[in-house]
Amino acid sequence: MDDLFEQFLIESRELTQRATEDLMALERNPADSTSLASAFRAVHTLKGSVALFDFLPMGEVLHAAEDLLGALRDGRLGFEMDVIDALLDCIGASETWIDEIAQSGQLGPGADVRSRALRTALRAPLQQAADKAPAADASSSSNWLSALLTREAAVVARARAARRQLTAVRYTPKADCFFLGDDPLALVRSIPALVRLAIVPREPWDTLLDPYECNLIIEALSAAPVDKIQPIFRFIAGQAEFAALSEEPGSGPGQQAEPERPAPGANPDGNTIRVDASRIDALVDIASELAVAKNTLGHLVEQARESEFSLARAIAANHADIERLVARLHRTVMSVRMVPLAKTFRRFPRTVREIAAKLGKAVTFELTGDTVEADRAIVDGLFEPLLHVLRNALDHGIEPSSIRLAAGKPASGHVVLGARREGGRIIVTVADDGAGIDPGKIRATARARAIIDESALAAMDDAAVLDMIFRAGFSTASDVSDISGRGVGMDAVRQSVLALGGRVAVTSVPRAGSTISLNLPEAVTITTIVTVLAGDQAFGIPVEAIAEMIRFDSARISPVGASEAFALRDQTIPLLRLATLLGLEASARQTSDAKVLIAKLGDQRIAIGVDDFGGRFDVMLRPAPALLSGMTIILGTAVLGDGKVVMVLDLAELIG
Amino acid sequence: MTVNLEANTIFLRGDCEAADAEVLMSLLSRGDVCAVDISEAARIHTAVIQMLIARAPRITGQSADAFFNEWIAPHLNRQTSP
Repeated sequence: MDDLFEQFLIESRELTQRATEDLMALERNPADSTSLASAFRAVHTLKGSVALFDFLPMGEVLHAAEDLLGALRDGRLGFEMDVIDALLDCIGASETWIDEIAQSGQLGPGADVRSRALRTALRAPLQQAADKAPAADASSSSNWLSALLTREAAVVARARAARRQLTAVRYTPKADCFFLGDDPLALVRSIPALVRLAIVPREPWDTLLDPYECNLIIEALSAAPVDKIQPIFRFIAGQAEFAALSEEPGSGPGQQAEPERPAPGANPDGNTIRVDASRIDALVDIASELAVAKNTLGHLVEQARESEFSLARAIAANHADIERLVARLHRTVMSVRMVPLAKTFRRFPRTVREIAAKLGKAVTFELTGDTVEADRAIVDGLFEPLLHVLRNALDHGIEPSSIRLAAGKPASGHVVLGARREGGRIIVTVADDGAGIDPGKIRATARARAIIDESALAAMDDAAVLDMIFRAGFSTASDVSDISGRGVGMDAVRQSVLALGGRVAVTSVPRAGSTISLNLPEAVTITTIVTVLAGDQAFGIPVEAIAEMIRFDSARISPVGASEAFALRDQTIPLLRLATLLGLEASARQTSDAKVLIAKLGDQRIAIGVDDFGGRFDVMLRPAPALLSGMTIILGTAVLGDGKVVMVLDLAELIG
Repeated sequence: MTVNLEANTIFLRGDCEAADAEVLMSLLSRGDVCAVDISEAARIHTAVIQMLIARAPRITGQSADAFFNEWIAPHLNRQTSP
């Protein structure tokens, strides 16, 4: 069950993504039948897996979307803007629901209401088409007709045997037809040569039945030809469907159901496998441990040299081989984590479209270089900052069409999200052809908000002035909108990019547009830390800050005035306790062993007593959360292999 | 009045219009109705027929309307009196 559920989450996300891409492609080119077929399959497959887990409101919406896509595919419905909108809304809602399901195992509380609204929107185009279409259109009749033929097989067989023609009628009166003065069964009464009549509820009977709402479907078989029956329903076109059942079985106008296509493979080229990210991380951990073990071997070689020289030589040669292999293993394993930027980029076309629609702006959006690869952590971490940047470009960069036209620009704004490799780094840019940023306006804002003092401001060139948009609390838009927030966007962007080990910069030409560039590493930088305990709390310390880690009999420590010291290799070294430095309660545990880190501080060596040593870990150092960012003794935080978060300390700051 | 309750039986009489569906519904909701007699009904509006199908009260009597008897009545609750 769990595996199936996990698989459902992974696949359903892929399917919504694919449906989104197909729909966006269809929006650009409605004649693209490949994308249409692909979108249909994606929704169809998703509907099927949703049904497995009984998420009814979601299943119903997808069912309605499938009907709509089917109608588009069969040419029963033309492409209108609102058709794509309704479908994209449906997929967007499905994504939200998948997230809800992933989090809580069920749909959120608003699902029913949203599902109903979405279904209404999805059915509206079909309803409108049905109202417009001539009632004789039998192409949508496949389902009811085949059901009717099955149900009335005996009657149909008898008619065929007698070479009599039969006409099938399905009449679905509008729910409000009683108000309009219709009496549906009175119409049916006029059907000549009635052979069969079925009256069934459209929706199950509700106990709170509305006496004025018609909830009936009337199906009839008549021996009269279609052209004698159709005119009876001429005033309610669209509510009745007709099918002539000819003598030859199978040649009726009922469309054959689409043969089931094979489920789309998650893996079109057969050359890739899906691997849980945690397994790759486990491999990375092993490769790192191996690197540490290899270092120990190097140490043993040194020891062996003193007694067994020839053996030491052999081991040393072997050590070099292992070293090379370990490095290669590490590189290869890290490369497994490399994914194309497309993973994040392709989520944007729809988002941009939604934001533009919300702002009432016309925008064309272009993606380039999304095949460039970077570490998964970087690619995932780019979504939030890029979303902020794109929102800003649309909200503050791109001008309304009227202003653009007046400025001699195309009515539609152009935004390009691009990526390229440059000297081992990745440059991601968001360029717009909007209004640009006016340095004068930023100077004025900086002055008005006293963000910087006047003399410093005067000394700044325009580039430095532009860079101030990344400062906390800076917003140049005089009207704060709900799209790009209250000026919290760009400083958050800089924070997130710094966290990924990158930099962010802006260039802008007034009236011609702005470009935000993110300069990022290909892979996250790995720092090796040692964990230590102080006052029962674990902290990390970067390995390069530590000269030695030693244990000795605590009796060797002697008090020196108010502090402590001990002798190491004929040198007296002052001893500080980490718990005391951090203002923590010292551990209650008293041990006879002293555990001490020797830190090099310039020429001086200082010993830092800890309550215990932990392990050695290769970690990705993240900047400290905002709450701690004022504390310079904290370099950042790191997540250990077991998911525990430790603060990584800056020893130099701590001692100095 | 085309819908009347008399001694636990509702009588449909003459032409029953769409508005009669509401009257019929409220009478059927009383809980003391045993049957609906249609022997004196002439034309019955679809809204009323829908109510008879949905609530499925026992139907007594035979309509004078041949179409009704042949095509509509089979969809109603025609069980014989207990």
